Amino acid sequence: MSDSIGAKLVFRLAGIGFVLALADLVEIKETTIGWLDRSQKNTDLDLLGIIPHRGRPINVYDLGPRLGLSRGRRDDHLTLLVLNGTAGPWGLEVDGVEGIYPAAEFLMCPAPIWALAGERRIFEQLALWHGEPLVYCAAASLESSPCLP
Amino acid sequence: MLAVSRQIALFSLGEQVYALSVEGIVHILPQCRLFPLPLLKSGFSGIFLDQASAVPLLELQRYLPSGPMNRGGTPAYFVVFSAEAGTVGLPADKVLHVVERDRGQIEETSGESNSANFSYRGEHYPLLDVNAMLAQLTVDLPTMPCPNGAAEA
Repeated sequence: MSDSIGAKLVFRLAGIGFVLALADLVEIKETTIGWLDRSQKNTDLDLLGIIPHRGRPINVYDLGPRLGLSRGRRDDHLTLLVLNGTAGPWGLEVDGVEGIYPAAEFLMCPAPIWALAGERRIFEQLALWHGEPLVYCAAASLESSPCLP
Repeated sequence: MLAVSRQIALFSLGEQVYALSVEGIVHILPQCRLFPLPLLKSGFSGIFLDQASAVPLLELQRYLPSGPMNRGGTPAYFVVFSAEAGTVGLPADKVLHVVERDRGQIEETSGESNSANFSYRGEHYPLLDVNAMLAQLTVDLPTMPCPNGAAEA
């Protein structure tokens, strides 16, 4: 659909808004934690476990620790963004999805990266949306973060 | 040695006061919404929007001389300051005066965040060296978790 070109997905982690290009998204998966195979959990990699996706297992990651976010206790519900990866799809656990919106609703601006801690930049841009700065994430930069294989 | 412009702006924050060289002040905004931002260095309390730019707000209390702040709520003003590292906001409850430097007295100190005090009408105002303050900020990850939801400033 031509309307979806440039559209962006807004989701939340610890109350903070994030935005992804819709082109990076494979699927939004609402499931329960029972489907997550936590035998593969690796906190050093922020890997929560593995979940089946279209007949194949994919890794599911939690960006909270890497972003210094305290996400608190979660219930059994699991919301995942299945994202395009260089080696195949992978899952990102989020607190909730707000929706998909046309690109025209967002105004991009640089993040004050000089005020950010750490050497590796997970994000460098913000997207202003209805008066709120959202963290703009490119799936590729998330994938290339130190903890992702 | 802190370079001081011809004019000095005086502010209050709670029971504390401070001074800034006017030359670095871009403008002063009335209270606006403060947002959390992941990975913001310790020493910043969030970011606010200034004409579609995201500006980090300094936690100024940690830089002022010891003493109770005795303030609640959020500051009435954000002083937008152009520092060498970038544009930064400083909180203020009141804009007290803008005075010619020659109408007061600058006294050098050994403080980390202010190399001088500006004395004016019997009161001593720490003259903040914003560049030095920013240079001292820790690069460690913030110890405080981001709050759930944006904080109203």
